Amino acid sequence: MTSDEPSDTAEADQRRDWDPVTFDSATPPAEWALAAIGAVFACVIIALLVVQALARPDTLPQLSTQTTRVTERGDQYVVVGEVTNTGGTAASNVQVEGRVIVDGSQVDQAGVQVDYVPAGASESFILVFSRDPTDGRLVVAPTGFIED
Amino acid sequence: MTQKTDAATARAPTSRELLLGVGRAFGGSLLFVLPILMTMEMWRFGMVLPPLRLAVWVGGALPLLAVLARSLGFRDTAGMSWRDYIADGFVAYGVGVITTVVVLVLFDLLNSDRSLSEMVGLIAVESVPASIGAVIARGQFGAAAAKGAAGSSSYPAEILLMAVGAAVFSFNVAPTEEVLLIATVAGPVRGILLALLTMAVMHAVVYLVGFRGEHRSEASGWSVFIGYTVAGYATALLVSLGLLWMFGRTDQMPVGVVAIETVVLGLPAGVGAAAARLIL
Repeated sequence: MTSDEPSDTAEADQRRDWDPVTFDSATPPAEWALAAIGAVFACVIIALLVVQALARPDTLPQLSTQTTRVTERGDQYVVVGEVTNTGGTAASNVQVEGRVIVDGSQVDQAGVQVDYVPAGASESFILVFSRDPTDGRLVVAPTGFIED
Repeated sequence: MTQKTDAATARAPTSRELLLGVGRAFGGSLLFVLPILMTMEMWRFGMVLPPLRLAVWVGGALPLLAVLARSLGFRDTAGMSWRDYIADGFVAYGVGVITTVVVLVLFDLLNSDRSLSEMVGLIAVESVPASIGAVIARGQFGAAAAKGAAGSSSYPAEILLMAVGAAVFSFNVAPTEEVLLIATVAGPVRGILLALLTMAVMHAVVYLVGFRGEHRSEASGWSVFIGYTVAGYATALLVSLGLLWMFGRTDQMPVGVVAIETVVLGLPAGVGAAAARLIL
């Protein structure tokens, strides 16, 4: 047995590092438990990121809008909607425009900028009109963005 | 086997010591990451950066945490093995994640409106600085912040220390748009002057102006300047470039702008690198 030699040599250090028999832990079980929690966090986070990277090809942002409700506020009409990005990369500075069309002609318009829409995410927006959008046809669409 | 309990055998901390250490880790994590958690650009990065880049970010941080635990005297290093440092690194990462999640929930940045990928991205980007704060705190703020055999005496350890200082000081600035803005208006001449100024400040901080912890060297002035100040500045620039790449500030940029951006971020990074030699 060489364990009774002074163990501050490089050889002894190495043995302590990797030999399970002479491994003399300076780490109590409670700390191993905490380390295990940290390791689980790290594994889950990395695994989720890799799965996302594989599931989501590096394609251009694909934006679409839906309006969810129209409410009257005094003499204004508030349209609440959502812009969704089904593409593979995030879009920033997303411009959303809404138009109210009555009898084929545009009678009102409103616009808003959404800071950014991550890939696979939705962000809500609000458009404010002075004409009641339910009088005619409401057209809401993204009109421009910067690819992130 | 009974004779192994000599000076070189590490002593496991008691439960109380462990609890104190973890408490310090939470404190350091919060101290270091709070400005970063309160920076809008960082939230955005968590949501818009490619997931693979974020995975590299977290994956790359894990070995770094173990190395830091070793060289910053996380615990009494005598007789400790790499397994213990790896355990310390994972504890720090766990502390970083918990700190990040608690603060982000309180800021209403993590809520049920977020998709899973947004939440994971946010936690991934913020947990790395939070865990670096944790590992530094456990090593530095404790009563037993003894620098063991693996302490900062060796040259690679000094360089690593400077890299940590550079990261700590430039982290708050790196995500902001101001770096790019300064770089685009500064131009190459100011860039060169900035680089010279940074090196002068770094050298002065460590060797000339008499801060507590100042280094006295028997080597000649020039060899110290090249070996520590210039090498430290190069390290700070590498850290700056890495952070700029991480935060997408180098994407689709001409090389000239990237170079000046790196020098601009190199100022806080360089000063941080020099300060680290005095403090850490």
